[in-house]
Amino acid sequence: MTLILVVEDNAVNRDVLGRRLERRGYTVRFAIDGPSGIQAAQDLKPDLILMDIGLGEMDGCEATRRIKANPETLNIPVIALTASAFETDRKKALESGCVDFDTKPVDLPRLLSKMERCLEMTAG
Amino acid sequence: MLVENLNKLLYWFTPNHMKDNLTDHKNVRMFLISHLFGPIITHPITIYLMLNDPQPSPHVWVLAASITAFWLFPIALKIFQRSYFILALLSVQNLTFTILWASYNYGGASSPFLMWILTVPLLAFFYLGSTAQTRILIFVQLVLSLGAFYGAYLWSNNSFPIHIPLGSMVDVAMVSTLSAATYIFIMASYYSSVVDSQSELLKEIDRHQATLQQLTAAKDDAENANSAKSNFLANMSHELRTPLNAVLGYSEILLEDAELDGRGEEIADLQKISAAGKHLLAMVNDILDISKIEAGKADLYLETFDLDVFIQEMEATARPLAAKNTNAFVLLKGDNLGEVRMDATKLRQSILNLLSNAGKFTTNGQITLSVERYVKDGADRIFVAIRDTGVGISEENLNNLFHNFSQANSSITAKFGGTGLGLSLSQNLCRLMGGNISLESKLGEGSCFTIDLPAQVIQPEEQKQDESSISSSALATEAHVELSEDGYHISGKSRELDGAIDGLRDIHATAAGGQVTGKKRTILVIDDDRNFLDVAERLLKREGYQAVSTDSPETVLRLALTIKPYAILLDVVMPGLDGWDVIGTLKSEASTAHIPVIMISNVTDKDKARRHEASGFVEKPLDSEKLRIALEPLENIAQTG
Repeated sequence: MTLILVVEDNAVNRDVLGRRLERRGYTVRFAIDGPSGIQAAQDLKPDLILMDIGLGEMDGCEATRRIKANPETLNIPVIALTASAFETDRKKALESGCVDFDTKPVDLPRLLSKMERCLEMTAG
Repeated sequence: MLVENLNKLLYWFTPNHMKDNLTDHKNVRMFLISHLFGPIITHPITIYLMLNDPQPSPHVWVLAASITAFWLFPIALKIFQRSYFILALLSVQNLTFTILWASYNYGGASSPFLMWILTVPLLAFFYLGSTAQTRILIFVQLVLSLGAFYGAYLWSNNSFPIHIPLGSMVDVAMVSTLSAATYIFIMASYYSSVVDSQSELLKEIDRHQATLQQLTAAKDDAENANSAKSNFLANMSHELRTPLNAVLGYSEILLEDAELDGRGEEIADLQKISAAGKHLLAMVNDILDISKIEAGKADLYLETFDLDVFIQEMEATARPLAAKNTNAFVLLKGDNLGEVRMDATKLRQSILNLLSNAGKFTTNGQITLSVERYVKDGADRIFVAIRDTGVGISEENLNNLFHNFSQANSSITAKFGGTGLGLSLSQNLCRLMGGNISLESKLGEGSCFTIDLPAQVIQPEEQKQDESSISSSALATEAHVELSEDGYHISGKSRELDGAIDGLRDIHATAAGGQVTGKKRTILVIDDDRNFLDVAERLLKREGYQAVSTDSPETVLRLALTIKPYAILLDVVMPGLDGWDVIGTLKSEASTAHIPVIMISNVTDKDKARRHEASGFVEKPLDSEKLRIALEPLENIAQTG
């Protein structure tokens, strides 16, 4: 079973993304902000993290940076998700250690192909 | 009428080289006026003495001659145009002599004529300006002359000659006092009018400064508004996409459920919701993209990729778009596409936009996507052509086509829908990558859009904000202020004293954006050569200074008083007022004397520069090295001082 951790502060987004991923056979766990996301990454050791960039106090980039700073969670691939329209956010996300980047609203086939590519890379 | 003729006469006597300079011209006018009218006012005294002195010869004749001699000075000046300074000194000496001669002969130390000695420094300063040099010279001259006067008294056994008893000179004493008072009255009136007009000039400069600050503030406001717009965009983007996420996500979940359960009617409805949501999202994205480009916030995400693979991958998306109205889709690829460096997302977006348009406006036709790479005009370029056999575009509508929200005509909007953003956006995206979209079309026969892009797109330099140009004619004086990067330029031509305000009216201040009132150190540069000023401004800016430059040396003192520069760069060779005169003026003025002046000159002038209290000199042509060497010592003075 592939375990996906979704870090997202918006309940509707969590629900819709989680259900759609579960329908495709993934096990999905949620975290609602940066600190709990970091904790969940450490506790659950998911196969992949989908990280919202526009989180509350601690943004997704910072959370990713901390996940990457922890040797226990260092190797978990993180894909950034953002509703922002600006390229600079994409750059920021990649610099903080995200392996890939996608925009919201989520285009599921596109996101799935990115996720699969990541999972293959870490598996191989 | 009388004044006009007088002005003409004064102008005729004025040496040519002094006509264009405000200060010189003022002095020379003073000189001429007092020499023309002085003898007229004082000769009645000579006549009185001639009539009342029982033995007028020779002392009254000497007096008459020395007073009449004043009329010769304007003529001498007309002949010896370059000898103004000497003539003015001689005139002052002659005046001193005349007064002391008259006093010595009529009453000695108690003479009613001795009060005229007060006009000596007054006139001397009018003629020569009140530089330190003149002050000392005139004072010494006065002291020596009075010394001679006293010496003559001692030499005549402690007595003055008595030609007319003092008691009988009451009448002439009254006339003399009245004449002296009148004379000083005229001079003082004239001088105060000069002072008035000068303070008018300073006020004018203050007003210009105020306008400048307003404009700077306006520019800052505009920039703030622009960044507010960008923030608004970022927020709106987030706010609009979040609910769309729910619409699209849940409709898809429901759609999957309906498909699993085989609920046909619901499937169709849910597909419509999903399609409408996607359409809305596409429009939101288009509007955001356009706004980003307009706000200069669109970034290029350049990557190197295989164009052949890119087109293959895109074909799957492209085919259904093109094939919409039962159109055939043809893909033609050149053999040598190879690797390119560009923003793949933006290229894909542009191509899909054009394909979607082609599909929309073509029915039962053919849409061809052809991609080629070849060298055109020595540049390696990619050409993507989207050709359709659709409705085509009439010639008059071709020009409007690339504008935002503009479709060929409104009936098209009614028939085909769309926001009219697609083409404009695609065009902007391609331009961002250094390319262009061109269009050929014939009404009824179809259209061909061609994207022309460099194969290796270069990241554009930091998008330079267009130099904001703000001009204001709000002031009665038509202040024209142009804000540019750093520093501002002031040029003005002062014709003559009375026209000085008009002269200022011509001032154009090219002002520097944002920083005029900032913390940067201001350097004032004076040179008649505009090109040199440009170079100097650029170099100073690079060294972190703010440059204020002017090509009219007459304005220097006023400018220096107003802007209080950190240092002054002053050219020596200028027509009219030369650099040595200017530095003399600056150093003699208490409030500007402390400002370091660097002469733009050559080494042979080194000593002269030191004598003029210059803080240094630089040689032309100016470069940043020389500039640094010249300015660095000032830094130390500023630190230790």
